[in-house]
This record gives sequence, C-alpha cells and structure tokens, in this order.
Amino acid sequence: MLWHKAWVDTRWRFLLALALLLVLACGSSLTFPSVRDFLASIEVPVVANEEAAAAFRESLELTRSFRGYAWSQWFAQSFPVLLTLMAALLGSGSPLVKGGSGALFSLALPVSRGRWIGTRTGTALGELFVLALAPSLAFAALAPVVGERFAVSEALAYGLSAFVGASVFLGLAVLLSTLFNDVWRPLLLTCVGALAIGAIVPHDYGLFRAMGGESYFFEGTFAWPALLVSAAAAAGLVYAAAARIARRDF
Amino acid sequence: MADEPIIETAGVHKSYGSVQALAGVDLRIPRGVVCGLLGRNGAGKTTTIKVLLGMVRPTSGKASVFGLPATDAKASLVIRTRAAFVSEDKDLYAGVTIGELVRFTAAFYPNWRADHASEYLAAFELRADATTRELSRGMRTKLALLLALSTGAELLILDEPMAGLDPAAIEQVLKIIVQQAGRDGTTVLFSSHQLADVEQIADHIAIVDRGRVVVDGALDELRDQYRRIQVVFDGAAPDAKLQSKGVVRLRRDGRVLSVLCRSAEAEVVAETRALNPKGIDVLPVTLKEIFLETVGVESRDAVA
Repeated sequence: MLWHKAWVDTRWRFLLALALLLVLACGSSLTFPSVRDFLASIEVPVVANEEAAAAFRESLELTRSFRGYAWSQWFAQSFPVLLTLMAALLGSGSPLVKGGSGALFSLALPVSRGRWIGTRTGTALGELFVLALAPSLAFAALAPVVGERFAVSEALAYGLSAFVGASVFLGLAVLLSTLFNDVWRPLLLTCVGALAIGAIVPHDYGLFRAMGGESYFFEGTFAWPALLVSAAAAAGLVYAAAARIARRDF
Repeated sequence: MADEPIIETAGVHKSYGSVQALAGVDLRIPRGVVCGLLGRNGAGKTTTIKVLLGMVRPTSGKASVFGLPATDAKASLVIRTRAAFVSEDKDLYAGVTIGELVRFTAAFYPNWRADHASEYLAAFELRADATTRELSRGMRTKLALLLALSTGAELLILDEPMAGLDPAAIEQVLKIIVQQAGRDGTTVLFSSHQLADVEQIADHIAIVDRGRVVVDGALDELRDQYRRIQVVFDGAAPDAKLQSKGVVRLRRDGRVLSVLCRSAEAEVVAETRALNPKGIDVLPVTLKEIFLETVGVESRDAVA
C-alpha cells in the first residue's frame, strides 16, 4: 500500500517526464538523416585557433555515424541535463511534510518514518530507472527506421550510467525535502547543486562525464570510479534524509 | 483492570528554542475510561498527544502507552498499531476517494473492523466514491473518525474531534464515542474546548495549563472533592487569608467570600466559621467552574 501511495503521489511527474524524454529521444533519432546530410554539406570554417577547429572537426566526424550522433547529441549532452532535472523533480517533496497533506495521518499509521522515506525514494529510483532506460532504448529501437543500427547493450550502458549519476541528485532532493516543507525549494536547490557540480568539478573527473558514458563510447568501459562514488553518495544522501526525518518533530 | 494506566507520563518537558510547550506533564489515564483533556489554546494538549504518538520527541521526561515507551521508535510502532488518532486538522490525503482511503488504512491494522467501517459509512452518510477534496470540514471529521474507529484500536486519541461540527453532528460523534467505549472497552482520550461535551461523556478529566497537568482524576471524584463554600457576612467580607491547604481559589465580592476548595470542605468551613459570618453555604461545582478556577489559580501562581 505504501508503494501504491508513493506511485500515486509521483505518477504524474513521472509520466510527464517520460513523455517528454521519449518525444525528445525519438525526435533526435528520427532527425538523424537530415542532420547528417546538413552537416555533410558544410565545410569547416577557417579559424585561427587550431584546437577549436580540431574540436569542431571531431564533432562533425562523430555525427556522420548514428552511434556518434546519438552519443554526442543526446547521451553526452541533453540526456544528463534532462535526467538530472527529472531526478530533482522525482526526489522533491517528502511524504512527511510538516503541515502538508496527510502528514499527521501518515505519522499516526503504524509505519516507521524510515519506511516512509525508503518507500518513496525506492519508488522514485524505480521511476528514474525507467526514465534513464526508456529513451536510451528508443535509440536502439528507432535506429532501423533511419536505416542504422544501434546496439541495445550500448543503449543500456548509457542509460545505466546516466541513472547512477542522476541518483545523486535524486538523493540530494530527498535530503533537501526533509529540510523544507514544499516541493519547490528542494527542486530549485538541487538544480543549483547540479549547476555547481558542473561548474566546479573538472570535466575529466566530472559526474556529468560519467553520466554521459564517455568512457564507454571511446573505450567500451564504464567509468567505474565515478559511478561507484555516485552510488555511494546517493546512498549517503538518502541515509542522511532518513536520519534527519527520524529526529524531526511534527 | 480499570486502574491499570494505559497512558502514563512523568515530568515530560518539551521546548522549541526558548518556547516551553510542556513544562513537566504528569498524567495517568486508566484503561477503559473516556478521558477529556482540557486546556486553553496553547496549553500543551496537542503537544502532549503528539508525544504519546511519537510525533514529537520530549526534551526530558518519560511517556508510556500500553506500558511501552512512546519515545522508542520500535515501541512507538506497536503503540500506533494499537492506538488510533484523529488530528485537530482532520489531516487526510487529498484527491483520493473515501473508498481508497478506507482500503489504504485497513492494510496497516491487523484488527481492522470492516463491519465498523461499513456501519459508519452508512451512519455518517459518506459516499465511498466521493473524494476527500469534496468533503466539508464536518464530513472530513466524520471520515477521520470512521477510519480511527475501524482500526480495532484499544485506544482512541482524538484531538478536538468536535471542532467545526454542527450541534447535530456533535451529538452524533459523542454518541459514537460513548458507544465505542462501551461496546469494545476502548479507552478514549480526547481534547476539547467544549466543557459541556466533555462533561457529557467523560469519566476522567485531565486539565492542562501552561504545559503542566493541573488536574487529573475521575470526574465523579473531582465533583466530590471540589466544593464552593459561600460565606455571607453582614458587612463587607473580611480580607481574610485562609490557612487550609485545600483552598484552590478565594474571592471577595461585597458581603460574600467565595472559596473553591478541594478535599478540604470541613477544614474550610471551620476556618470561615471563625470569621463570624452570617451564613455558610456549601455548594457542588460544575466542571466549568473547576476548569476556570483551576486554570485561573495556576496562571496566577505561574505569574507570581
């Protein structure tokens, strides 16, 4: 019943997010031929900075194949940002909000506070998992439509990398939701936190790089250290949220 | 075992920063009684209730329900399995149907009484397909009561259950509380401002004032213990200070000296007789008088 309630509480956010991500992922897949043809028709501009020119050429080269296009345009750029936003959205809003709808009713039930938080977080993690995998698999499913191939295993690899990284922001939103009695402040602060991580942490060690599956694209391996640190950080944040809610007065 | 306390607290304090919500609550509520928890706004009734249900952690002191420590998280789960609660705000989930809420709640209580739920749905004229958003405050109260009464709980804790109800609904709720207590032997602890309602159904009274319990006992015993002694003089009543320890409050009003006393009727009568009055009347007191005078005395003492 708790799982059902957690699902009912978050289902509209999840379904809207899923619809948005699927539309964008499908749109990206299906526009590949026209993007490829357009890029083939342009020439590399002459620039003084050779480094910038090399980067531009590499980007153009990547988008000539569906695999390179999918990774560079979706998995490495749009997807980590969008999934971060969705994770913040799913994690914001505790079921035990002081003064919120039904909080005292929930607290009077013979259910521990940890179970409330755990169930809600578990549901949000499950939803985030679907949000991470469904758009990724859409690339694999739609590749034949545009006359290309995209391995399901590769789609899963990118989806899982993005999921583990985004779980950090879900955990942060869950923790912040135990500090504030509304949905908006945890959501906003989590987004600010994501921006700060993106701005402060060097790209080579960055969470977003791991979420984008860069090492998998170039080397065929997962960014294990970053993913393990992310998973541990997410677990730590959720644990901190449970500890915080256990001590709170209502 | 009517004397076995189902709720017992000792020296429970709760502070929020510099604000002291509870200042040493000592409470002992026997099993099987209907207990009215009285007090002014902000006296500490709701905080006391929340401590019992594990929603608020006391700063110090001990609280137990069913002999289990209310401050222990695991024990609190057992307490909440055996006790049902209706909050002051009749706080329920928004946007779900009554039927869904009943099924949801039933899943957590092993002794859930489906027969009670059906009975009260009909008695309260609640439609299972109506959503909680459609309900008036009165109907929300009835739904919250329905859920609490159907849990099969040994203890019902109701925070201002009559608030926002019309007189007919209040009568209905009072009747159901008495019926529940009589039928299943359920202990009921309810807070209220409505002294007449409390007097109508309660057999045990606890009065909370400024975070302390100032009166705790069986209503009949309190009525027996408290007396108003009206002492009438030929002229102005003397500015006498009575020595008897049972004096709760003393007032002078023209020729009349009015003394509210507890368990000290004979002593006070003897003491006032020494003042050469024209006459002495010993009168029974109502719960309202006990409440107002006790709270008044305690407030004055606290200020002093």
